[in-house]
Formats: sequence, C-alpha cells, structure tokens
Amino acid sequence: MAAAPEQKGVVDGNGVARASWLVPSLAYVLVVGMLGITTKLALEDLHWTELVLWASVSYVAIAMAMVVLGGQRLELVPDARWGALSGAFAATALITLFLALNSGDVSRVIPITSSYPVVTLALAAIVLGERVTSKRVLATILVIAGVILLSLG
Amino acid sequence: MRSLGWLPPSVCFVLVSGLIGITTKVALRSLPLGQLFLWTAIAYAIAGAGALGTGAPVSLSMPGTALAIGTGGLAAAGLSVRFAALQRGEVSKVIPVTAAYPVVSVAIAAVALDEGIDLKRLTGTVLVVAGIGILGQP
Repeated sequence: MAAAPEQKGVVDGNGVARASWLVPSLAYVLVVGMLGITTKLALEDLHWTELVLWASVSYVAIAMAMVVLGGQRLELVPDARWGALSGAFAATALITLFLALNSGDVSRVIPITSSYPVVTLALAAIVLGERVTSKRVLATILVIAGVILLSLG
Repeated sequence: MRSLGWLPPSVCFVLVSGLIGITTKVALRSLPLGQLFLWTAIAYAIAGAGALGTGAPVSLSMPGTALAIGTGGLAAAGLSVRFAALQRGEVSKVIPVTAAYPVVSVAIAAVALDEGIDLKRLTGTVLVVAGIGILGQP
C-alpha cells in the first residue's frame, strides 16, 4: 500500500502553523477520558456484559438517527471491507479489555494494554509507508510511560 | 500459581487496538466518515447481541444503566472525532496522541470522585503532555 498523504497544518491569522489533526485528536482524549469515568461508575452497578449491551444499544441508536434524520446509507464500495474490519476491531477491543480487567489486576493489565501504539507505529511504517522518526518513537514512549504511571498511581 | 487468564485478552487488545488505526486510515481513503460510523455500529450491534447471547441477566439498574448508555454515546462521539483525526493526520502521530486519554480520566477522577493526585500520577501527566507536545509539532 502506498503512503497516505497527510493533510498539512493550517495557518491561522497570526501565521502560526497548526496541525489540523491535533484538534480532533485532543477532542478524542477528552471524550474517551470521560468515558473512562462513566465506565468505572457503570461497572459498580452492572456486569461487564450489560455494559457492552447498553453501550451497543446507545451507539446503534445514534447510528439509526444518522440513517433516519441524516439520510446516511451504507454503500458497498471496495474500501467498505476496511470500514467493516475497523468496526469489528473497535468492538473486539472493547470486549477484550473488559475480559482482561474482569480476570486480572489493573496493575498487570494496563501496562500491557497501554502499549498498543507501538503496534500501530510499526504497522504504519510497514503497511502505510509512513516515516517513523526517532522523535515519534520517543514521543510514543513518553506517552505510554506516562499512561502506565497514571494507571498505576 | 496465579491465573494468567487475563493475558490472552490483553494481548488480543494490544493487537486489535494497534490495527484499528491502520484499517481506519486505509478505509478513509475512499470511505466517508459516516460510512465508517455505520460499519462500526453494525459491529457494536453484533457485540451487543453476543452479550445478550451469554445468558447473563440484563437489569435496569440505575444509575448503572444510564451511565452505560452514556458510555455508548461517548464511544460514538470519541470514534467520530478519532476518524476525523485519522482522516487529516498520519497514523503514527494521531494514535499516540489519542492514547493519552487516561490524563483526562485521572483529572476528572481527582475532581469528581475525590481520588487524589500523587507524585506518580503527576509525573505520568507530565510525560504524556511532553509526548503530545513533541507529536504536535508541525
């Protein structure tokens, strides 16, 4: 597969270059950070299978609203298989994390599960041909080390 | 000897989570964000059906059920913005930054759940912010 072109940073009124991918990435950090709290609180009342069920109901309801109100339709274009695979991985990740936390100590599970960006980094270089510079490797190590410290604190 | 039952799902999580960024990036070359969202909804529907199929009792326990439904809403919002980030940036930059979400969880837990912030957590936050700062450079 050829390297995917990166949409370069935009330049604001003051001439400051900003990476356009950073804003949605930080929005993800904020939203999923809140999700960690709702998950923890929900699991005080529910079994993990119930959490998977109700979270799925909620997600599917939003998708149905997109179909009914937004006119969104599934199209079976060639790259749809990658979309289906991404969806399957997202659901599998959710279930495997609950399974791991259900049977293991957080102090053992989190250090291992936090290391997934390493897999992404390696595959981004091999599959997509992205440049994996020493700066990106160092930054990824810093983030993973920080997440492990946060999780074990 | 302690059970290692947690290890296979942990390793599976690392592999599938590591793959998501790649498959999403490839999918977004020609697939609109909305399509990707719908495919993920189908996968979630299958996961929900699977959860029902385990035979575990389903309760309407409050506030747990409401929080679980809110969790699904947050998951939907989170995946949407991550799709947008992956559409605009390189996977090797976006995924490490998005992996930093525990910083927010720890901050909210400290404020809302009265969980303290010790030196370990403070150091962790500094490392994560430093990593994001490096990745965020143009």
